Amino acid sequence: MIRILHTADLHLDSPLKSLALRDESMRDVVQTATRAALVRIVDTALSERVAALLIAGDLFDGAARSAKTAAFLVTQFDRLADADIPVFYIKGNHDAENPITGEVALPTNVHVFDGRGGKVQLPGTNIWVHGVSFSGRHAPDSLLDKFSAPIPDAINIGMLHTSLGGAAGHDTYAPCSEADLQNMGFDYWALGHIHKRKVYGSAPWIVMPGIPQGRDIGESGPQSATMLQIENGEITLSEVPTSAVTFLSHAIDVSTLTADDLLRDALRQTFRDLGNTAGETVILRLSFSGQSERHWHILRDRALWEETARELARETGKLWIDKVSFDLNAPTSSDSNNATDELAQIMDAIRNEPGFSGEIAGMLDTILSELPAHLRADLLPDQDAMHALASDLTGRGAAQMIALMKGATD
Amino acid sequence: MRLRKLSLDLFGHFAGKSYDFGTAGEGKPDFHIVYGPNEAGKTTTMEAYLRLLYGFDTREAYDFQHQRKNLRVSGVLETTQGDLALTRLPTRAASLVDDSGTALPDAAIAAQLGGLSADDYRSLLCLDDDTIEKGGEEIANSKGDIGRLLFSAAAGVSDLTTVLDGVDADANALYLKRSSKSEMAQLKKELADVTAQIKAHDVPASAYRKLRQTLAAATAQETEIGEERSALIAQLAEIKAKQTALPLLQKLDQVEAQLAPLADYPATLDVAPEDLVQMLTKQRQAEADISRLTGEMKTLTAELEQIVRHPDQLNLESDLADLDGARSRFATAQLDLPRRAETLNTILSDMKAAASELGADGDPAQLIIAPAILARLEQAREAKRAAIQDLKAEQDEIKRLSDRVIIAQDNLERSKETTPDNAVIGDILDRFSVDSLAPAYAKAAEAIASTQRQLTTALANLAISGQSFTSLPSQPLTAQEVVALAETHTELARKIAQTQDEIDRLSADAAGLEAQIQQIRDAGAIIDDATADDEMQKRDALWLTHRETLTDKTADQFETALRRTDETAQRRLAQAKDIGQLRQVMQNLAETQAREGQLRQRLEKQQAKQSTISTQLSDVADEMGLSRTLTPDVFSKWVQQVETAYSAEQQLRITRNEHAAVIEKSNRLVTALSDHITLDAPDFDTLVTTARQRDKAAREIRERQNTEQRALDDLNAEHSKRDKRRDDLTNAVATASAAWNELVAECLQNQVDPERLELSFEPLRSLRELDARRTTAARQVEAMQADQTQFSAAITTLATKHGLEVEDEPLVTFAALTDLANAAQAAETDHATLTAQLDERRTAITQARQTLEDIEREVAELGKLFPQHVPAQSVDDLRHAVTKAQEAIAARKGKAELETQITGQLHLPDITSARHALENTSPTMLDAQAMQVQGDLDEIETRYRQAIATRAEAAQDLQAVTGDNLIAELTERKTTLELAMQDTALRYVELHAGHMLAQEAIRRYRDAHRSSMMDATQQAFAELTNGAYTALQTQPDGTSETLIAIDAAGRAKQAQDMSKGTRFQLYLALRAAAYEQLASQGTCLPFFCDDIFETFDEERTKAACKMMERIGRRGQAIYLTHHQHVVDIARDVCGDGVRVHEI
Repeated sequence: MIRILHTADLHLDSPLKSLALRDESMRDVVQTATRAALVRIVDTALSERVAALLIAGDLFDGAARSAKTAAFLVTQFDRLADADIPVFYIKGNHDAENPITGEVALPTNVHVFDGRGGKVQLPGTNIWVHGVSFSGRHAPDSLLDKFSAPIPDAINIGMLHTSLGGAAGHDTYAPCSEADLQNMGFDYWALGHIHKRKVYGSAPWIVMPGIPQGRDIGESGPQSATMLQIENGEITLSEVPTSAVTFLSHAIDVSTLTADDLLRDALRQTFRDLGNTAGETVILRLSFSGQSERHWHILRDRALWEETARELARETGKLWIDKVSFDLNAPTSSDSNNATDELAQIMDAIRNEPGFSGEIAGMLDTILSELPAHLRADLLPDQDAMHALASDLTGRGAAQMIALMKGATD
Repeated sequence: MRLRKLSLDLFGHFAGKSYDFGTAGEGKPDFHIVYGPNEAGKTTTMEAYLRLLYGFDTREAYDFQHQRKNLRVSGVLETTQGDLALTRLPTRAASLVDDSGTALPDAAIAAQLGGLSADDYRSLLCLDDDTIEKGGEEIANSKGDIGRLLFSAAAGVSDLTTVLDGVDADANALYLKRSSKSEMAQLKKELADVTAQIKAHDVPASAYRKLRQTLAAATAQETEIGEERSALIAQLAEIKAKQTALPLLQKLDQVEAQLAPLADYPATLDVAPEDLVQMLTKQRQAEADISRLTGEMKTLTAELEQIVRHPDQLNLESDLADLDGARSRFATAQLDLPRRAETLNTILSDMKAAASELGADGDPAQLIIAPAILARLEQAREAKRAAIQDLKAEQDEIKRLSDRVIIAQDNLERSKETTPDNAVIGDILDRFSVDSLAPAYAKAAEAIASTQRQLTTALANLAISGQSFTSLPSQPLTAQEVVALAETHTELARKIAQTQDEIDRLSADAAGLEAQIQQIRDAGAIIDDATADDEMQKRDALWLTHRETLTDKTADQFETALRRTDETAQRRLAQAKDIGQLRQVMQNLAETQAREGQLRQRLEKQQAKQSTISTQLSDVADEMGLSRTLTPDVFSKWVQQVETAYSAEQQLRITRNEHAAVIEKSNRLVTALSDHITLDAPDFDTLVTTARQRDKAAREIRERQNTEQRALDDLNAEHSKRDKRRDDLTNAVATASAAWNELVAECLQNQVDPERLELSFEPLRSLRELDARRTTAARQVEAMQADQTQFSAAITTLATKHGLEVEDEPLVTFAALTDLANAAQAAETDHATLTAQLDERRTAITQARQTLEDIEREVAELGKLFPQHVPAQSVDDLRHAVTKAQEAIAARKGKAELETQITGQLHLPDITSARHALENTSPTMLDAQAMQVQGDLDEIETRYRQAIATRAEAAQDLQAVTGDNLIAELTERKTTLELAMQDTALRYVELHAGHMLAQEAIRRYRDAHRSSMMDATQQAFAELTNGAYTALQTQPDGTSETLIAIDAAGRAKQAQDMSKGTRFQLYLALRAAAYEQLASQGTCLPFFCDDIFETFDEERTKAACKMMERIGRRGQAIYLTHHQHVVDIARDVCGDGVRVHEI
């Protein structure tokens, strides 16, 4: 049986994005997780004695431009070279953009397909690997016509970095449809670009292996590389876990938790359950949801609850809190007509006055100017976003104030 | 809610103090003043009320008189739901109970309090000096936000500013412009730090490319300079080569000149001059050898002719050698033979002597026996000896036994003579079990003796005042009774003395007072009260008379009387002090005398009581037989001693009863033993000890007799057994002797006496040894004699053969034969030697001639090598020619070498081109060139080294780019920091926006509610100042606002410009307005003021009282004061609108 390991989108040395990393003990546990993922992939390749490692683009991250990244990569490829394991690599949009790509002197066991495409026979087998690289950071047209015809009576694997159909409003990268791929006559399409793992078809296999290491809460869940087992011309697949850190979102319903102790117990239980089921290290985004009589209490003490959650999570030794959000519905029975309720109504009214919202927008603009430019750009792609954000923050601030004032009266 | 009743059951210094505020009368204000002097507990009352509502403090300040656990406050509250009778206890749980003692939840009260906490209540509804002063100051300093005051009062909540301030502080902690402490600033700093670190340590792609380019450029540079350097080195080498080649060329020219005359000499030569010297030597040697050898040959030939040879005698030598062994034996035998024969004879005589020792006179050979037989003889002799030995031992043993039997019989006889008594004493001891009885008797005797001693001591202690007692006196009263009587007696004596003292003191006081009265009376005519009263009555009577008649006369009379009374009154007024004093002293005297009379009565009673007790005690003493009267104290102690004696007697009786059985048994034992043991005074212990000793002695004697009898019996039995054994052994001895005699006769053919043999076997063994030696000696003698005969025969034969005369002594003949053989052998040898020497000389001569011929031929051959003009016929000539030729060859070789060196130095193919190259050069010129090129080279060397360093550095820089994760980690930190900054920014906006909203909302709320508050305050203030101030306004001041009062003249006045009292009034007005506001919102609670009008003038106090009354109309107002004038003013202003309660 021949094994081939397929991965893509390593985004090497792309940093994790989580406030959990503010915690120094967390930093000690997990550092440079994308490197850890690559090491795991190489470890697996060596221990499973694979015939080849396929990297379907985005080995580098657009932003990570340190030569050290390249040096690290070379050491890992050298490990494979020592075991005579070839690496097949096509450049994705990030690689094309990253200047390091051109500067690295990769070991001889690494075959890099160029933008004109090509094919290579896996030594001692009847397996052919075809591939086409991105030549620039954009590939608005399909790259399929650059592939040569499959070799008859052989197993043909195609490597392509593509956004497939793409999503409306987003840049398309080497667009093509599943049907296009099926018609090419290959046995396995080793794809890359989309970070969520998905098997699009099994005849032929069309596989997006997903990112080996998620970098923020948007890339949550355990991640993997895809292992091909080829026997008697048949290909079967399995997943190889790769992520060193797993991002998770979890909501805890506080509706029935009518006392602090109950809420604390529920947190502890939740963490214990998550700790038992999840991988070795988990970055958790926790949200309090539901409708509680203690709505105002919880909101008032949100700093306390956040700290409690962090502390309890830390006790598990594997869970680390990224953020705690309070998505609570206010209690409906608000028949009391006291001063704070009146204040709440006034605040709600002021919030929607253009003068006030203008002031808030100004303040937001001022403080955001303290941030690095790229963060601002990410946060506020356009003017509407600014207003939406200002409105959202004001709403939260108002709710928090009401909670505090109610707390003061209790 | 209003307070109906308040009871300070146990609180502060109060116990059971209560106030009843009654019911709120319809249309009547509910205004109360609690009046009491300083320290009367006004503040305590207010605090008690708060405890009733909110419970006791954990560290209660009002537990100075009653302990905290005992504190208790109760009261009745009127509420909209009816009356609540409550009691507050200091317990942790269920501290609130109703009048039936049922615990109530705190919520029962809380529901009535409109959500006010204890602190809120205190700050809103309890005003005292302190709070009003602070409140006033706050207004003056504009510290207190008026709006806040108004708002918080109106909202019925504690102020929200704390909340706002908290949020503001939180927000500022996150971000504050130009602050370096805010979280954002810290994060920025950290970010800058990390960014700087990345910049310092990272090698970005562009830098990496630059590194690679730098390396390529450095490598190229290095190569270029290297090449240049090589060229210079080559140039320098060329110059140096020329410098070296130039002198070589000169040398070459010299060699060529030297070689010119030797041009036709052969180029190569196989022969060296040394070879030719050798050849000459060889030639001369050969010629000398030939003449010497010829002489030697002549001499040798003459010697050879003189030698005579005997070939027939050449075999004699080997024949003699064959006989040499025989000759040697013959010579030995000649020396040894007589000694051997003598030895043989000695052995034979020894054998004869040995045989005679055994008593045998026949052939000793017959006595030589085999070792086996000798062993049998030894065995038989041993058997006989052993039997005799055993018998002797047995006889000795029997004799010893006989002695021991006699001793044992003696011992037995002796011990039977001392037969002991019978064993009666032992039986008695056993019967009474003396071992247990003896200690019991000892214990009993000791106990009885001890109690007897106690009784004796107690009786002796009774001795008193010369009277002693041998028996116990009677006891009509118990000791306790006597003691009680004695104590009463003593107590009475003490009281009598005390009473007597007081009487004495009072008598003295009375005497003093009487003296004082007398003194006052003596001092002057005092009109006493009686006189004055009398005059007054007269006057009144005259007045009545005058009123009825209204005549001038009565008027005059009355007038006179009136004058007199006035005069008297006038005088008495003048004497008032003296009269007052006199009255006082007289009153004191009367009191003193009365008390003295009372005391005298008491004294009599006490004395009567005391004498009764004395009589009673002396009766008892008589009855007890005391001859003398004792004081009650001594007597009571003596009676206690009597009681001790009684108890000692009692103890003695008890002890005797306890031990009666043991004593009785002991007495019986003494009787029994006395029959057998005669003692002078047989007491128990002595008797028992003696009996025990005697019993022990008797038992020991009986045991010894038994032992001795048993020993005698054993000895007799042993004796008879041994006798039988001795008879057996006697028989065995006889048998062994017979066997021995028989065996000796058989083995030694009756030649030997068995008894002599029995003494020793040694003669037999000697005989055996001697016989062996005899055999050996006889054989040797025979062999020697045979050898002698054989040798003589052989010598005779040989002598005859070679014609020698045979001598008597064969050894002499042998020596002559030997000489003959030796002479023949020597002649033969000399002949052979000479012949060989001659042959050798002949060969040597032939060889020398051959050598000479060879040399001549070689010389001719070598001569052909040289040109005609060179003489070469002799070896000497040749030698000269060869030397010359070799010179030529060496010169040619030198030339070739020089040419090679020159061309080699200059790297040129031949000497011609070399000469061409060196044309027109001189050493000086070359030196100059060399120096110049060397200079260039030095300079380029430095550049070359730099280029290498640069290249190595560039390569190192490139290699330093390792795969470590430093940058990745820093980047991750950077990203995290950026995230944190973003988070901080958003949180800041959230907080700040919330804060702005809340602030604005509160401001609007205030504005919405302020007018009613302001109106109420304004009205209250106008009222309090009696219209001095007519209006209040607010004036914005930054973010807050200042309160401004407008006086009647329309002038605005700020709080700080008002007098202290006015400021207090302003604050009170605010409070009153707040009360109104609270009340209008449905929270209507008792309002307490603790003496806050102190700084108010009378008019304003009046106004303040009116205001309190107005509050009382709305709710309940309770004013606590220690000023009577406030009470008066309130009564004046409010009439029955105020109820006053005194503490």
